[in-house]
Amino acid sequence: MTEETLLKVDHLKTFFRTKTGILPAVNGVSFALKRGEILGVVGESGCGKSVMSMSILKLIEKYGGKVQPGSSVVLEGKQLLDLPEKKMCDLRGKEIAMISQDPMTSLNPVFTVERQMVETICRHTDMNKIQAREHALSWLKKVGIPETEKRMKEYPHQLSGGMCQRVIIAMALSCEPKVLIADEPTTALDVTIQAQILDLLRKLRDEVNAAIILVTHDMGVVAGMADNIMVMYAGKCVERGTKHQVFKQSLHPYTQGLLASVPRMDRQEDKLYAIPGNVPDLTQKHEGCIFRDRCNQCVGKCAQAAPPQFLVESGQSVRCWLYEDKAVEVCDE
Amino acid sequence: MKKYILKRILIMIPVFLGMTALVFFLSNMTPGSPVDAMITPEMGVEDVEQLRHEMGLDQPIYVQYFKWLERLFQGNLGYSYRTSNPVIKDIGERIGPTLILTLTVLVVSILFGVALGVLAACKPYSIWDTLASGLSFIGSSMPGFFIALVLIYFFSVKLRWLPTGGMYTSVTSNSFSDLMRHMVLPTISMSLASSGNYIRQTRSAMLEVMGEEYVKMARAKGLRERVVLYVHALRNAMLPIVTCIGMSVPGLVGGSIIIEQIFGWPGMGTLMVLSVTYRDYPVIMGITMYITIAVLLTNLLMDLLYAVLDPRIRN
Amino acid sequence: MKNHAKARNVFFRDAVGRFVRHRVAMVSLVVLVLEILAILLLPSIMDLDPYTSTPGKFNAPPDGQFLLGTDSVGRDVFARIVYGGRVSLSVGFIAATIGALIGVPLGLLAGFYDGLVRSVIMRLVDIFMSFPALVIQMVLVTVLGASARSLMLVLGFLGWTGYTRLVYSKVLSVREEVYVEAARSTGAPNRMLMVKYILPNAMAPVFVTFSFAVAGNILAESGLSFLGLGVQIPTPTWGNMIRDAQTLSTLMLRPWAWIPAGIVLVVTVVCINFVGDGLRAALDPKIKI
Repeated sequence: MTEETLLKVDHLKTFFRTKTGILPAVNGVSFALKRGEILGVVGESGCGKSVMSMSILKLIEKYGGKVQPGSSVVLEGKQLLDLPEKKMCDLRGKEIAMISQDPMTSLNPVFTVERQMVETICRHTDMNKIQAREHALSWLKKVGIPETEKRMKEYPHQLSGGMCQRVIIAMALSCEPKVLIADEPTTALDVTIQAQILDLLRKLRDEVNAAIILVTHDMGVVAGMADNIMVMYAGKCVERGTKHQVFKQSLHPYTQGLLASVPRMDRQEDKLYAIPGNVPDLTQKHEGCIFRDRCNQCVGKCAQAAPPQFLVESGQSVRCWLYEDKAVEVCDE
Repeated sequence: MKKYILKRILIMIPVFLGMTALVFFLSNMTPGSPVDAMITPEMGVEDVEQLRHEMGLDQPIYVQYFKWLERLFQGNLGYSYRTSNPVIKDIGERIGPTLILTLTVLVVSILFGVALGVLAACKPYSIWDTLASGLSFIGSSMPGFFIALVLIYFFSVKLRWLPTGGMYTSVTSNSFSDLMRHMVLPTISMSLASSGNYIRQTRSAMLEVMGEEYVKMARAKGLRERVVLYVHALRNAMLPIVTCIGMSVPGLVGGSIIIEQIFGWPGMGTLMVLSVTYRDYPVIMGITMYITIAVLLTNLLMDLLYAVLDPRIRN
Repeated sequence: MKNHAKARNVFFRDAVGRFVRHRVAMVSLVVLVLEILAILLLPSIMDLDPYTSTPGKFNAPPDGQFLLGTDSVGRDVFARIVYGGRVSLSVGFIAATIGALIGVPLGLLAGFYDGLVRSVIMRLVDIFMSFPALVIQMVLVTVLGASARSLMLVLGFLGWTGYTRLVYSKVLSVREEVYVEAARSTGAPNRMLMVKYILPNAMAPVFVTFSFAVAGNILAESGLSFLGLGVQIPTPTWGNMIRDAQTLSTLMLRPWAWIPAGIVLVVTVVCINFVGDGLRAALDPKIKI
């Protein structure tokens, strides 16, 4: 694995105009992704994970969001946010592909699997329909779909959720993208299927050497998959580190809460831990740390100012006043 | 697929029986029985009873209904009071012009309505959207006959561009272009009202479909926006639109009655108005039956089209 | 249960707020109110007479005496429009009310009871909806005799399907609500469940349908009167006034005899439809007519 940076996201800010005010869904997220790396992005629903994915693909404007000037998304030296729509359109699916949350609704119900796969392949390669069909067939085999010939002629409603997700993965990887954004790829699936799909993703990552941004709310999913982890809360990255760092010595109270709320088989627990409270209303102005209301380790400073990102040790940083003293460096803002 | 078609046909049977029963009992409510017209002063009470018996009028009403259905299936709709022709002949002469007009209107208003609806949905809250929504609203709020009269006033009377009515200028001139000239105004007056419905339905169907996950995926796959809209989204939005087309056919038939009357179009609409004014019940019932069958057939056609468009119904 | 009633009040307060913010609907409502006031008050204020012919004033163009001129038998066109509005609007409102009185209970029953009751009612809706309304209206009006009263009855008795369809689908969702379950578990009889708990929460589609039905009925009345099968001369309605334009000389030479009536008709129907649209936006944007 080379160490060069493939995708670099800097100060990404995306907001929505709503009736009750401006909603900063993604509020200054930065990260770098190396070739072949799997980055786990973790957070509750509504923390801006999906908006972030859609912003990287520059599709968020179609859904009413707006990327703020000053944000930057650079893929192999190309600034995507300055790219004209036509170029960006060529790039989507070819260099950055996406797998979505709900496989059952992500395939067009009125077209066969074959048509949807061939359409994607023909869009991004020079293959003709027949070659594209062969290519599709081989990818469907790779993702472990039995009776491929028959399945290809079927419509999405004839496939199970797991099968649909396999088709979507095959479709996303068939053009060998450099980055794969997997937005909650297993949430809608049965637990047994979840493991299979994750295994498949890991295996194919090795084959295509694509970097994966694995967006999930499930700590368990990233535990098995990710190299690095970014924890998001209310549109901001609150903690970042290697998987080992985040799991073994999580710093941010929110991360600790997330970890505590994962059920453990090796311990006898009477009650599952849940972080108190709800995700705050982002259209309102917040004084101080935005996690303050739900935090059990508040200090005086929390109410006064929002904490910056403190780099605590090599590779691990956290957005929390508790670590001000231990900080090696203050990263941003 | 076979099972689906069979099911749709089976569902049509109670609807058909219901509609025919409605027509039958309605015409039975009319004051005076058919016998009254045949009674002559020299007939005694027994003779009248005899006549009633011969005509089956002494039987219970549901027996009469099934007898009537039987005759109906044999193509026997009785004789017109007004012209004394067999009803089937009077109607037969009029089916052609009505079909030409209504089908043209159907095609024109669907094309126009769907195109504008898609345009409105692509750029919601833009000027196009406001225009399309406004047009659809005004279109469905305007009575067709008033539109027709205003159009005649401007285009036929003031500008003298188009004929005021009829199907051909004279009996001898039955060229296609002449027919077209006569069709412009009736088609516009009827299409304005019916396309309003399609604009609204298309817009809301497209907006709904465009929020779907598979549209997001199609975009994320890098498909061009044109392909996303016209292939992926519209193809799915067609499903509710087809339902809406099926449901709009009865309204179209109703609208054609008034429009035919204004433009003196020699179709079933004018015959219907004429028959109602003359209380020519056999013809009224005949036309109603014809319309019933036409509506049921279009419904079946729409069901089939639906199955063609939606694989989830097909298998 | 008190909370529930309170929630409903809050809902209606919000709905009124949403309606008031719907600018087109508000303007339409104002226009309609002004129109109704004019129809009610103008005849006595201006001493209008829609029936009497003025000798020597046949087909007169608008002047100081007759704002919109006179028709072919010398009657005041403006007075006829005002009086015609009384007929058209009352036919529209009364027929829509009759339709609601039939359609709402049927929708309630169809939504509440599964099985035979539902099948029969909904199949009836299918039958009525797949039939060109105008055709039955023509036949029925002929049978009953053409008059404003029979129009009200006919349009009302044929206009229930819209209510039934929408109330039915609303009831389907409302009856699964917790408060209905709660009431049911306390042993409330079905009738009480329907009238006290389900109906009030299924009223949104009724209001919306009512306004669209009024507009539809006014259109149907004018259509039938235009064909000469509705309200009969000398009683004026907008439809039978426009009928005058069927003669080419009126159409060509005397636009005042039919265009104003048509414009008033269109404006009225457009405004009622806008109010209906505003109601839908305010009460339940998901309602599809």
